[in-house]
Amino acid sequence: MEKKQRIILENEILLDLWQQSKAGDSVAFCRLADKLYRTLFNYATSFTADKEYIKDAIQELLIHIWEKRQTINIQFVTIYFLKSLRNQILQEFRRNKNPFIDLDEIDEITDNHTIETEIEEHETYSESQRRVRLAINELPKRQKEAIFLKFYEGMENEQIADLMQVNRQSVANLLFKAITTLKSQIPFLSHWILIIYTLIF
Amino acid sequence: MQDYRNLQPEELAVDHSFRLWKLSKDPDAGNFWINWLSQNPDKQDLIDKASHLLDKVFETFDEISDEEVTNEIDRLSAVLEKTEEKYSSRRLIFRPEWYRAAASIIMILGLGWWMSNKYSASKQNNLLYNQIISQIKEPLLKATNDTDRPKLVSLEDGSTVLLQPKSSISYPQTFKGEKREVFLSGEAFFEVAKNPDQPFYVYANNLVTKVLGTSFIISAFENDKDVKVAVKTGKVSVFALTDENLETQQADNKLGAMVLTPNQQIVFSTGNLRLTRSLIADPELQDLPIQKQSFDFKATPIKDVFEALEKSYGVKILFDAETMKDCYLTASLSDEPLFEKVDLICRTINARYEQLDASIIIYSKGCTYQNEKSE
Repeated sequence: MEKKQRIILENEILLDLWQQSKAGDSVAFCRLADKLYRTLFNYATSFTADKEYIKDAIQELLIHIWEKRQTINIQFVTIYFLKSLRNQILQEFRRNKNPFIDLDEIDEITDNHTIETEIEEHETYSESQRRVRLAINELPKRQKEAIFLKFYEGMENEQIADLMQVNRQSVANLLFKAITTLKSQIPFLSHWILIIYTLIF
Repeated sequence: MQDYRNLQPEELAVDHSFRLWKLSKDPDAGNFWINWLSQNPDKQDLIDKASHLLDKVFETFDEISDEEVTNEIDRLSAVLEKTEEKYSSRRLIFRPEWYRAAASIIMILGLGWWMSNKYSASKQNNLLYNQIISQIKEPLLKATNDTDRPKLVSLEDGSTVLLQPKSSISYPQTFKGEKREVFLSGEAFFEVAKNPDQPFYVYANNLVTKVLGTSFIISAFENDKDVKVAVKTGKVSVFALTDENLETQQADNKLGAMVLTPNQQIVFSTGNLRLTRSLIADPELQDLPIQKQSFDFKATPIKDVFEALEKSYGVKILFDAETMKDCYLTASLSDEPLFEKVDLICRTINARYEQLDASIIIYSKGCTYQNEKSE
């Protein structure tokens, strides 16, 4: 797999692009979208494994934000976009796929891990990578989401709580559960991750 | 300075400086960490484990290639171009008449509240009030105005509250959940940011006011018998804080809204628990300065525009008068929250603004046109 852009998104730079977008600069908005895209896409994989669905959802969100830009006030750009994407996807789940779905029930939905994707993964990744991927992907969705926000985005528990609309304690619990599971499945994690309990609480 | 020696790998993996080094390849952060490592050679293991964790997480979550990202951004760009062509004629200029249209829906609502059995009622209602407060999970911030001038309080959603002397307001730092709820004692002028998905509630004494985005004034001093609500623009529904209403509010979020049209007033009588509509405007309410204040500017020098806002909202607006001496504004602003007003002005004159504590700083490169003035 090719090398991917990995960069910390500085809120100041994003805000600057957002202000330009707000003033009607569509090029600035595309640049902002470009910077945020990977984060948005990868975050959405916490909710569904359907890549084309995610792409369409993000397009829809970006166009919606562009059209409504003059009425939107943003303080933390990444968090705003992640939150909007989360709301949109979950709302759509409730509306279309399963009208009775509840946020908490998202834990119960599992991806269709087909033989093809299994083979594909086997070719693309080394054994240790594959094991980590498998372990993380098999976490309940909300735990996976918390792990993403904590370690991929580097967010504070408080921000995660705000985004996931739960309290700080629930975030701590989700992370603890997730890490306990990962610990049992990924050998390199096991000898140090024990202490994470004290970090989280 | 943070003591990194005592950190665990998972703590280090979420440290901002460490991430700058590992993820953004930031040279300053890189120098710092290389230096730190030479001073703490025994911590090589810690660094390795934290890097390893980050690598694994990124490998796992990176589900999309750069090429796919580029494709998606191209797709977006194409859509935006198309919509822009379609709307370009419409969006070209700031249209003051839109705001005039909005401002024309002005309505004044007076609400007199007479309590026949004040003591037993207030005791019971205090209970209900506490019940509502206890449902608010986030800690509330409280702003009190002990001065003799109005004090501006800005809320997280962009709404502004102009708090009158001897008044206080409690509000959450961030509005979570389905409602925005604030608690007022005394008098305040509200400009509520529009958000139909998250209605705004003001609890004052025994009265609940629900709005979807509007500007209005509430006067509810604790030892006053009357609670007054004066609405400048928009729609408001008002209801009494009773057991029944509290329950319906919890159950289905519908408050038995009474829609009010201009110059109507609502009177609530606790005797028969009925809301009565009448056509009389309360003349007392006309005295409220900001309530009748409209911001109509016609080729007004920007200095005067900012002065008007400073006076009405009690904020300090900092700008370079020399650079902006050629900026003029023609606009009619009404019930937008303060920051929305400032934002509209900035977009009109091609400037931007920042909020710093109680001040607003305007950045502008000046205006070159002078046609507005000469016309």
